[in-house]
Amino acid sequence: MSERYVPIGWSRTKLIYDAVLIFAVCAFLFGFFSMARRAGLATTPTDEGSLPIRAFGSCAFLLLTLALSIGPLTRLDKRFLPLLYNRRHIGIVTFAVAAAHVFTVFDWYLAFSPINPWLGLFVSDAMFQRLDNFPFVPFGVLAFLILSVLAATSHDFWLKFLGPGLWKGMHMSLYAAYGLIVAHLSFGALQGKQNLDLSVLVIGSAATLLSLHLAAALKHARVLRHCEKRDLEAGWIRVALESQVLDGRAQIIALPGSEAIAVFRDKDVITAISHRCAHQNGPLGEGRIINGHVVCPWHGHEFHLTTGCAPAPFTDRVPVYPVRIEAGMIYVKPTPVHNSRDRAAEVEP
Amino acid sequence: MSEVPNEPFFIGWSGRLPAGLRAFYVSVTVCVVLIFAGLGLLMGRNIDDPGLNLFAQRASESIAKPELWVSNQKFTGSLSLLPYPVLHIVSGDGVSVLRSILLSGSGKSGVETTEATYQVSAVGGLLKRGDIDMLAVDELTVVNTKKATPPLPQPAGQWQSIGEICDGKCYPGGMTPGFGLAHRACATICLIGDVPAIFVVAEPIEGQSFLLLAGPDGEPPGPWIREMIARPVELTGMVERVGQMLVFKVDPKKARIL
Repeated sequence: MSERYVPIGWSRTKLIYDAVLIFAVCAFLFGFFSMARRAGLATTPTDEGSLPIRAFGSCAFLLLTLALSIGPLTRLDKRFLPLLYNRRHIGIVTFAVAAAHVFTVFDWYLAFSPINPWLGLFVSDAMFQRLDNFPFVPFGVLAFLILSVLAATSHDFWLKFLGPGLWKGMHMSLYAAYGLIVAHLSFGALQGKQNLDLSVLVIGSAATLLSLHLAAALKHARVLRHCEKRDLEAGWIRVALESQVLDGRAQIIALPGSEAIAVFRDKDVITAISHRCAHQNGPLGEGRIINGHVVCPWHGHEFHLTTGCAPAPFTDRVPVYPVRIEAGMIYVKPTPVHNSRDRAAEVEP
Repeated sequence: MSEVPNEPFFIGWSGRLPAGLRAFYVSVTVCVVLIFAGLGLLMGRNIDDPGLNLFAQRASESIAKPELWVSNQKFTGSLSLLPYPVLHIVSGDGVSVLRSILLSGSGKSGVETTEATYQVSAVGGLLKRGDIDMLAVDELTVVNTKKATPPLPQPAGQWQSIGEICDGKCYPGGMTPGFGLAHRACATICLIGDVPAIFVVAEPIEGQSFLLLAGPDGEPPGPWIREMIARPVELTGMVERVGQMLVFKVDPKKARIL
């Protein structure tokens, strides 16, 4: 956690993460170019201009698939959580590779032309009347615009400025960008291809991504306990037996709507805190307790278990809820305490 | 109370992976790099050649290329301006046109000229492929001392023909002619930039495999050709011979994509 805004708060893990990412991109490009040249596919010097267009385009698609796979992977296996911490760097690298794709298109197909290249992208194929030859470029341009906006607003400054809800909602448009890229490839490169490699990459990547999200959603639905009518007793929700909550862990109960409460045990003390992290709505209930604070598994933001406040000098806070224990059963009141640093959540005996 | 599982927990800002995750992340790193490298090799292995040309001049010619592409060539003759500037080289006695050369500017632009009264001298790169001579003009000079007599159009009948609308610069080999989306996009940009539009016919007309494309009144074809570029099309209209050049004055209402 850092209270100052710096371009990148480098750490050892971030450096290794980025080094692996860039090495993987270089490995893809090196493999692509070396194989294309070895096969003698760049048959004339002028054809060589289309190779980087294809290489950067397919690499950007692969990177985006990787970035969108990390979320469901962490739901399926918590060991993937460290990949989430630096995921926005994949987004930035994806944007850079996609920009290389766009500018190599400018430098090849739209070079030596009096037409503005951005305009050229839209007028070079404008037959919107027939689906079988529908122009593919506008899909790619829209996807690139989304990637550009998301890359420009990826910094924590924008997260703070826009608020977690709006920022997260905005960055979910990455899925729309992915759909647009699939359409870009389906209406474009796949039409002209004579071999199946690109089709395999596109269909395989999209199917893998969809399967991961479905599997993660199914697991999430099994793990998350929803509050039912029978759990409500005079305005209190029955959560679990005290003995069922492990030390340093939480039982998570979903309220009607999008809110969820994480009921933690810290040795002998039971507390209830919002399951949604104030930073990026991360799953606080899957975090760990360190020095009386729950640490979010996504980005390491901390909140005091009884006040919901982040440690000074940070000012973030999450709702905390009153807890009652009766005959070994834990009950939570779904109305948050108006928390402040001086007022802890009510814990009734 | 059950025993708490001892799962490693990563805190991002701590800067270090828990010891229990290090072996896992060595495997993840190796997998990611191998997947990227493997997919790079796979994607590069069978990449299609955009230069493969369906309108190759000979059956054995898999890649279209200009038969001649020489720079700094100089020609003097008279210009016909519509539908596009064409330079006509006349015989010494001035009676017959020996050669009609399509003109374009640099890159994907047409040549800018309104000169039809006097002869012009054009210097540039000459591209030749089959019937087509195309001069990418670097310099166009008016020869003020010599009056020009552009050839008069000679009617060659009404025709209906199947073929492909291309630009008159890439097709002879200014770029590598190809097919499909990239070829269509490139040709469209060229034609928007006023490079002469040509119609490459499946069956020769009057012994020629390409015609210069025009609207019904001999003007440059309008936006109607935009969606027909680089697709198999059927065009109908009057054909005229201007010098050695065939001009196809197409009726847009009868043009159709096949």
